[in-house]
Amino acid sequence: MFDNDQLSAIGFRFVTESIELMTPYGESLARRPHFYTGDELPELLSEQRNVKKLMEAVASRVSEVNGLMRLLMPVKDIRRSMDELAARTLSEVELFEIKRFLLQLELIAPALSSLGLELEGINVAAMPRALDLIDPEGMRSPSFYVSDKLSPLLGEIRRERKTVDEQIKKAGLTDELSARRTLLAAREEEENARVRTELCIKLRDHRAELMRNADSIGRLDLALGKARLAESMGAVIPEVGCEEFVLKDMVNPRFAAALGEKGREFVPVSLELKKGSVVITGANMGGKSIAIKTLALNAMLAMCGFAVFAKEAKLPMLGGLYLLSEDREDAMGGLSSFGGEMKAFDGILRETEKQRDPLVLLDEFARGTNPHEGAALVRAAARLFNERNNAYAVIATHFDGVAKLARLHYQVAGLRSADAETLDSGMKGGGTEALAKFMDYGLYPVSPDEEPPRDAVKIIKALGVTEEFSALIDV
Amino acid sequence: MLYELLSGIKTLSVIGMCKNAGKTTVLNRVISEFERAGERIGLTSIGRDGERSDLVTNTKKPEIFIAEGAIVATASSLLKEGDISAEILETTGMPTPMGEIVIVKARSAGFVQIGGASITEHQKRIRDLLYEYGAERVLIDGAISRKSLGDPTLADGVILSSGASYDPDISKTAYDTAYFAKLFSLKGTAAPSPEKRYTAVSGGESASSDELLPLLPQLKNGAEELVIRGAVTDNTSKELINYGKLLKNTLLVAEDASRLLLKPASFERLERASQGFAVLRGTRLACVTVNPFSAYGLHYDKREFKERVESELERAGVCAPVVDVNDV
Repeated sequence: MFDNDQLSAIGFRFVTESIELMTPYGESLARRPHFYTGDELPELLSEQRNVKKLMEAVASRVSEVNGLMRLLMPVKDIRRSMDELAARTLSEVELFEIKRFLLQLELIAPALSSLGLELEGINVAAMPRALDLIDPEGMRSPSFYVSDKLSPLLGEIRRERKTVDEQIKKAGLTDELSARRTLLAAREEEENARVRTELCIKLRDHRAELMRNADSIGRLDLALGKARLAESMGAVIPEVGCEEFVLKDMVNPRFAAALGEKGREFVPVSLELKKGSVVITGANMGGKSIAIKTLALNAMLAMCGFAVFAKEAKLPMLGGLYLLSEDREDAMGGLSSFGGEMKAFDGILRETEKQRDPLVLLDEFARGTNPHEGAALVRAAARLFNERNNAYAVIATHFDGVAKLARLHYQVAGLRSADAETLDSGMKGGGTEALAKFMDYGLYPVSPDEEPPRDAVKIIKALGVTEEFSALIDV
Repeated sequence: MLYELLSGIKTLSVIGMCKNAGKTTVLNRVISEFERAGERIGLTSIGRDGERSDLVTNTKKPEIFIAEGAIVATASSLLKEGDISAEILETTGMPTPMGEIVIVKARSAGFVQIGGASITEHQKRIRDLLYEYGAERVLIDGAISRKSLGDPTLADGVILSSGASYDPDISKTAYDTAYFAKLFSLKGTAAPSPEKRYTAVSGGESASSDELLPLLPQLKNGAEELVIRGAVTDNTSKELINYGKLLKNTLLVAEDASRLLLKPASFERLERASQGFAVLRGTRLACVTVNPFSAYGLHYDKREFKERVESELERAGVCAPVVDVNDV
């Protein structure tokens, strides 16, 4: 699956970082979102139903949802205390946080149930019995103080201490009073610790339910984040577990934002995939890589229970998701880029051999070697995935002779419709930004016999690379 | 006797020029005077660069004594170093090397160890939280470190604590004390006419002529005030001095005293070359306390030290009472 660099490269981090999460539990879930694979279709569908219900609530019950979010915000992180509850006595600060957590449950539980969404696997329930342990007086105040009610001895020491404090106020901190004060303080601390130990032992019975509530709050927080993101960016819940693999008008928000800054628009990508090899060819600078990463992002989002950035999305349950691209090799210290790429490819082949329906994305595979052998390597990869017929392989390449092996062939139109004269007059040495105006970034299905376009020389001339060089090109 | 000097100061920063300047004695004195007047105090500290290791290894009993009802912001791991009966009011999520800052209420009198945040925004938030939880006066335990004076504008007023532990040379200690006192008593500027005020950004240590050079035409046009954003360092000073006579009619304005990281000599040179210094956010110097006893054995003469500091303050044009910590 994807490592952190890849999650950044495909724009997944961009998406998760734009989700506003309210709780530390939701934040942890978003950092390592669960990828639902193979037989987890029921769980994925259940997550999707949750997100869908929350999307409706976000759209139509704004103030109730905002109210719920405000209640989630002060939720304390008690995971470390829970981990250590069995092993040691918790400090007053830790017990304070558990008390605050319990008090927050009392508020969140009714607010959530009054929304009436019946979210699956998300059950936030008040825990009055646990709260009574920490707050035996039932004051439900937001602070924490080891109560005298838990120990008559503690109350006695504290009263005695108060008397001494009064005497100190009058007489000053004399040696005698100071000694009595210190002794009482030590006795209080000792009894305080004993009471906390007892309290922690009793709290252990509630640990599982505390954790379950924390987990539910995290899942609620993330699902709500997904729903708010989908609502604000117009994403749709994909159909998963399908026979077909169709993604219409996909967008990648990360690239869309980058293009937006330059005043350009992201051209949506539509793809239908078949098992075996699907090949994308096209001009340099035409957006093949962006198409691959947009597919990777949306497939990842779909499998993690997010809405996807597309008009329509149907996809099977993916057994795995792999991307081999430039970004990958950068992470392969030591080996040359070609060696690193082949090593990684070998890893992918071995891992996906037995998988059901993995999605394998190869971006400019074997670009680092000579075109003759490079093309042969890409053709071999295309043949292999055709023969295996278990994976959806998408191969972006500008090598010849690959497309004819493809189950489906897509082409980035590139500069096809721009003739040399219009280019020359339009460019006026304007560089890559000017060139972008003439690029057709659309991805179109074409016949497998269609060879990759020959745009390299056109691009060189359009960019105004010195004629001393371009005049010598002998294609 | 300190109480009268502190009237009108709601948030007070006690800033020690060195360790063993008697800051803790002063703090305890101020705390007990406020408490005797029936005021609920809030107590925190600013981050302690350079004192961290001492705090971690410090096995000595903490020395600040507070009454029941006081509100304290301190690092969570320092709570157990004290012996108050503590009610936890809030965990702030603000991290320090000694654990996150927590806010507690003293349910008994007792000793506390305070460690605070080192980020100014956090320090401000903590001060505000102390008031929200019922403090009527907030005391900030501050220290001058090599890095900064701490933002004195956290407080309405400052007590500067100096002592023989600062330097074996009494003249140097008195001179530097007056210098810091001068920084803390710089006046906030009255709102000037915008056309007479110019703003430059100082790169601090890396200040280069590129940043200050564009000032030339403005200074020629007779800028009355030059506001310098960021740290004002010896480098900044060198750059400014290059403007020579053009500075003559200009008041130099720093954001606050903590941004003035100049050697006293650079400060004085600039002061002579211009209309002097002011700050955007001024604070009030309530008094200077002096401690003639040195932790390193070279004690000063009690009377001589007080008089030396008083005469240095006078020379520097600072009007603030000098109090011997042993007399408070």
